[in-house]
Amino acid sequence: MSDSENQDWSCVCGVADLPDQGLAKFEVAGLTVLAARVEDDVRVIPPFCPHMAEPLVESGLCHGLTLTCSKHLWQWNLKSGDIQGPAEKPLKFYPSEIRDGSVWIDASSELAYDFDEDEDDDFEW
Amino acid sequence: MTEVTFINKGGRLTVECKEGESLLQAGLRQGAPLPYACGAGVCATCVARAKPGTTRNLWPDAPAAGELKVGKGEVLLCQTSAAKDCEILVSSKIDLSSLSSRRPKRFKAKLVDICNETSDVATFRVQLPETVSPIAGQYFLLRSPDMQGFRAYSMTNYEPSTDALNFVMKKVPGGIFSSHIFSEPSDDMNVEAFGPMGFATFSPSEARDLVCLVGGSGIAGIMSVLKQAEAVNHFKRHKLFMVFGARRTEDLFFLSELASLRASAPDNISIHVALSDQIDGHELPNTIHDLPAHQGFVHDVAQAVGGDEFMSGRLAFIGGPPQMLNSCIASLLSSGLPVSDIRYDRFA
Repeated sequence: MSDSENQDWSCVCGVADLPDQGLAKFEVAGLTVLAARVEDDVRVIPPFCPHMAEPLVESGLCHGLTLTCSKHLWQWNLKSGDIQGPAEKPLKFYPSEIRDGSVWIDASSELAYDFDEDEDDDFEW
Repeated sequence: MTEVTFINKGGRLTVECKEGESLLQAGLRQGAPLPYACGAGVCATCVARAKPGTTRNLWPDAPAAGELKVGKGEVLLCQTSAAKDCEILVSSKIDLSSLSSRRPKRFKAKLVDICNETSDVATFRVQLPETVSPIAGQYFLLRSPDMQGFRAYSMTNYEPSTDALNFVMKKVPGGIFSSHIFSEPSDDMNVEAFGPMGFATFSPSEARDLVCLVGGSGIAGIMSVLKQAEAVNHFKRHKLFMVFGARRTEDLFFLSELASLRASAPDNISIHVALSDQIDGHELPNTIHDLPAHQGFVHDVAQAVGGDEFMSGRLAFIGGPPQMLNSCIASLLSSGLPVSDIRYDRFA
């Protein structure tokens, strides 16, 4: 059995449900995710900006392969997840694939960003 | 007076905090390099951590309060005061040994000369007890005695040194400060002022062509930028493409100033008016105050009238409500501007 046939995979939406440019929000298997077309493929990401947890469905601007959060202008390459410009953390992607015109993701574990990159939770002060 | 020690893994810095003073204002006026953007409880840029019982929340209902992880002791530096001598944990990215030379100050000031420009926009002046030297595009925090938190307002005037700051305000239904201006205007009102603050600033030494996309009272800080640019003859060598938007003709203001600016360098300055509401029963005039008028949103008019040629490669200043800012940022990015060339404050 391939990964895509694993029971942890869930259908997010039809590819046709996605705008040509921009992020769309979906609830799937108890998760909130954002999906976007990227060339002939798709990317599915957590709903928050890795910087300060801004909801990207409102603040995320897509231009070509670049995603920009308008709150503090962090940017990423939406195809690779790599940072551009002043961003300091890459995007996380859910494992995804297109199957019969639908977008499927591995929803077995929720992706989240570490907002305690200073590890202050453990800092004695 | 209490002692507040900002601490992180790289060091510590102790400052004095007056009774009821926010940790942000206490730190900034003593040179602490604290992060902030709005200073008014909106943006959550100044999040830090405090130990339980050591601080006092100045504005529990601040717009950004819902973003805090209270269980981890997170507070907004701009809306928190010290209840006792305390330590505040800030990001380890901050170099607490590097003090800033630009230090905003707190003033007891007078609010004077309220003038209604439209049905929901007014201008007013704040008279300070001493001169300040803001950079064009900066803002001040203002508060009347009956307000919990400060609000941020960009100055519309520019002088290298001045004790009089001009502002523009949009009427906010239910807003306390707004009601002082629109419902119960009284000249010579006492206000607290803190500033200058902000980073969406202009320096003529950057020697750049400009693009300004603004809506309503979001024009405030950009008026200051344009006045400084005009004062140093910036537009004799550099170009300006500007779109000023409002819903209806009667919502426009500052048009005579903008028309005068354009007349000062007509070959290099292009200023357009964008009206977003449809006009029923009669046609949109070709010009308003000699400025070309168009139907549509600011970003759409900017693309239609100017296009990439008038935006790419320029330094952009934008101002207005959040949705307008997002649309303008998207438009500027699609014209090829890097984010480092887009300047704005996000107060709302």
